[in-house]
Amino acid sequence: MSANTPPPASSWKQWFTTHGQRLLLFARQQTRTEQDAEDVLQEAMVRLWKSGMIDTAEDGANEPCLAGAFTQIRRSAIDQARKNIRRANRETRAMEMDEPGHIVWFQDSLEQDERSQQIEKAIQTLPDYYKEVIILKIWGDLTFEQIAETLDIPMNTAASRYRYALERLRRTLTPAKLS
Amino acid sequence: MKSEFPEPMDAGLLQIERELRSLSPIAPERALSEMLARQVASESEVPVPARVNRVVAGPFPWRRVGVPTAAAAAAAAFVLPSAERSVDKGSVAGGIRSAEEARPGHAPISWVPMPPRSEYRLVDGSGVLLINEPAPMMEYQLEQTEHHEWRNPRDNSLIRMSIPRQQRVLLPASYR
Repeated sequence: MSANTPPPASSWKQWFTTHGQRLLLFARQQTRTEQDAEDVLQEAMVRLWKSGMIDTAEDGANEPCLAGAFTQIRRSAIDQARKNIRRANRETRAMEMDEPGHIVWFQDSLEQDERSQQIEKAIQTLPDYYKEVIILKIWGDLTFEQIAETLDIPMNTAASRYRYALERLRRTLTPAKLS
Repeated sequence: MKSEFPEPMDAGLLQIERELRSLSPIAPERALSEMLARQVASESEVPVPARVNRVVAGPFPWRRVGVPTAAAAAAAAFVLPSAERSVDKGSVAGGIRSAEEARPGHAPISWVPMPPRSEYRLVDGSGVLLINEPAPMMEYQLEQTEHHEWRNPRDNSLIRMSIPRQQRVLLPASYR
């Protein structure tokens, strides 16, 4: 990760097309509504652009820093959570309209795949501190060192949370044996 | 993939990991990608609102106006060094630029956006109890003022824009 000349704005679209799925997934996990997730993602991308944090791609070209993008999403989500008045307003409206608060995260669940729906439900019932590690590791493709930096936690904590989260998912997803 | 764990994970955990990896997150809608690309592109130009940008982009027609009139106009429109000037949305288009800026061939000011801030104020006496089914609600009116500022690092002059808004907030209430 470094702060040099940022890549041209035109290359952002291509970069976002490649990484948009994983970034939006993390934004969804960090927020409570789809609208919030999109707002957070937008703000984070502008912050990332302004920060000038870049990585060097395999072809040697500069591209926005992926780990930095996750960090900015988390910061933007924290900032947004502080705007609790807006949130309360939106939630009240959602309640009035009787909207379910549930956001679908995975394409496979949308396609009514039963196992995928079970897995998604199991992930969504994990505590937030497990969910964020799982998402950054599996779909963000970050190392534990990068996860630790993004979430501002020690690396060993990131690794152990990942393992505990997997163990909890296994317990949830494996049918109990009949004695 | 090389494991980052000191102890290898057992087969059950690896199976769960594989199942998780097989799921594809839902992609952002195309409109969102387009909007982000536009936003980043606009941020990479001049970080001030479009109306301000247009004002500073064009050279001032000095020849047509004549030197004495132009000098008077420039003096009137000066942003004095370290002076702060509050500008509302309408007057931004009226032209905020220093005489230095207005000289032909001079590079436009690059205004640096400052972190925006918002103020919220509860309108006095706005709490109204609405007896709705299935739960009663309290309705409050909030006045929000969004403050945006852009600073010229060359002389610390400021452009300020304040946007007032009104919001109606409904909160669940109890009869107790």
